[in-house]
Amino acid sequence: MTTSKNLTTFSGKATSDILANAPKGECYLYTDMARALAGDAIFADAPICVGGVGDIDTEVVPADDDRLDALADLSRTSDRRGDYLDVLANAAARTLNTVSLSQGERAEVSVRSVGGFEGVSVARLVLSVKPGVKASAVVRLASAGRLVVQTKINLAPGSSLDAVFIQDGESDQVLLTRTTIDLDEDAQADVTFVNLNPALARNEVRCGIHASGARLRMGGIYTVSGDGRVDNETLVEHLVGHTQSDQLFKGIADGNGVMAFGGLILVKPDAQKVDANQTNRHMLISRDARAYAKPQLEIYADDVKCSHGATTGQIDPQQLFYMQQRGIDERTARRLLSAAFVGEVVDRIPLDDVKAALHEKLIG
Amino acid sequence: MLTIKDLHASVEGKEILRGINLEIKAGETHAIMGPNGSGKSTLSAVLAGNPAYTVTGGSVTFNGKDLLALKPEERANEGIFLSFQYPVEIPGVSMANFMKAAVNGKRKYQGLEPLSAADFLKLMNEKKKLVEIDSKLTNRAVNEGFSGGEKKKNEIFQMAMLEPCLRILDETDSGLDIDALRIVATGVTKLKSESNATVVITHYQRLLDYIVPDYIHILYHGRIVMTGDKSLALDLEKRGYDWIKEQFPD
Repeated sequence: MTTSKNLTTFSGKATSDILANAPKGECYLYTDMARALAGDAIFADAPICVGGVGDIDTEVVPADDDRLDALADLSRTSDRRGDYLDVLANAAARTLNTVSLSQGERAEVSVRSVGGFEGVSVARLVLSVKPGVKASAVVRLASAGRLVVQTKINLAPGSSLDAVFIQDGESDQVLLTRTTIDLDEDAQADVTFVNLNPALARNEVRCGIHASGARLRMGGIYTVSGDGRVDNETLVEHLVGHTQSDQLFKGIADGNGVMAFGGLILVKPDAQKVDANQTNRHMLISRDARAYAKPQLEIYADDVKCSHGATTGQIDPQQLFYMQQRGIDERTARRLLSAAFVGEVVDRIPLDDVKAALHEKLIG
Repeated sequence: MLTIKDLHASVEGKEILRGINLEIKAGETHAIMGPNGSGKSTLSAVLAGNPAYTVTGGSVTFNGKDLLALKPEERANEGIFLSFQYPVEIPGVSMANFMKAAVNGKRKYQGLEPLSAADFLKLMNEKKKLVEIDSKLTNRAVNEGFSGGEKKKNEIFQMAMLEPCLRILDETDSGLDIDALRIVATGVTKLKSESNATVVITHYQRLLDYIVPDYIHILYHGRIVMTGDKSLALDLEKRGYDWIKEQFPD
């Protein structure tokens, strides 16, 4: 087990720009970034623990006010997907943590917000998989306050990675993640994002499929309750032909919960024979819960198979009555039906222990 | 056990039951027959507490309790079991989790501790044997991808697990071939006792060869218009319902 110990807190005049320039563009419609990052805009590096693999390489980036100046330019990039968090993490974090994954290894990464800290904890993580290597990673994100996590996943030719990002903790947490996945020739990635009852969680994912034979599978499992909110924003870019992607995001909202999914599949010119799918299904448990979906396809090639689907539904009254007729009280029946709804995504997770634990957790 | 007095019920504003009176005692088997649309399935849905139906008048007393004041799950835990005409598929919920929630739901209602995992498995295995249901079915999600016959067999399996005192079979024979019909009917008969009662809703006399009723009631236009013994079913089989319709013009 290796721990990154670089804990640096700094603040400065430029940090006020973070709030002033917080993006408000269309893809930030359901997350108030200025509020999410509120407070004194003080940043500290979040502690990162890595178990299961031999090494984490922590590079310390020297403190430099210039990096903070980059924040002043944020407004320029504010309407583009995810750039804001990337610039923010690059500027505010003092360490870059690189995990090189070896054949058959599972990395157990845990990232926590700094205990008792009222500012924003920031982590920068690189998961790198060498050519031909098959590996897996479980990244647990725990935040008692505000946590920004930047992750870059690099898949070399012929490599594969099964990864799950799990946030499952206290309800007062704010979590903003920015994940970049880059796939080289014949590489395969299976990445799932799990958010269970956060105050606010926003996942921004940008996936670049750069060479033929590469395949991406992405999943999302999220539940919101109370005044909680989960916002997923994905961009999958097929830069070349003969590549595949498949996304399945399913969420449940109870109470006054809000959930949103925005996804864009972008197929570049000449990227023929692309097979891309994006599916988003939302279930509303209460009358005051809300769901928003914005599926998008932008296709500049003519020989591709692309599809998207988004639905919002409720618990089927016939299924509910059937369960009640067997003596199952309404609350338990609703819980079983909700667990079954997102269970479809849980079933796709290739890591058996994680899958079993999640099923257990959701059934309660 | 069950006393129904002047029961009126409607669905989507349309009155379907227009004054049902029926008394059922422990150990008895009652068959309810009648032409399509006469209100047979509505009666079973109302007794089970399906929220799609509205009771507009009358009373139902079940083992001394006001049945209509209870929630569907409370009615079930008091001992009412409805074998659905169209059992509902619940993808993603395994039969094991479903039955565990049902059995423990009832135990909780009775103030008992939940069954241990080992005792629950033992109970499942015992009842599977009793109703001749394949483990292949009980290892799947509830009714998902089951054939018509498998769904009905699964209803009887659930009945065996829950040991209800009032068993309502809503057209359990529909969609069954002769072999499935025999297995399902045998299951119902095996589970019959002096302390439970059975209501069989059916169109055809055939099922009543296996589940022999003490009484046959003919339901027409939301009322029981005739009550007889099992010979009434044979009569209906020969003469159809037209003579009933003529005798009781609306």
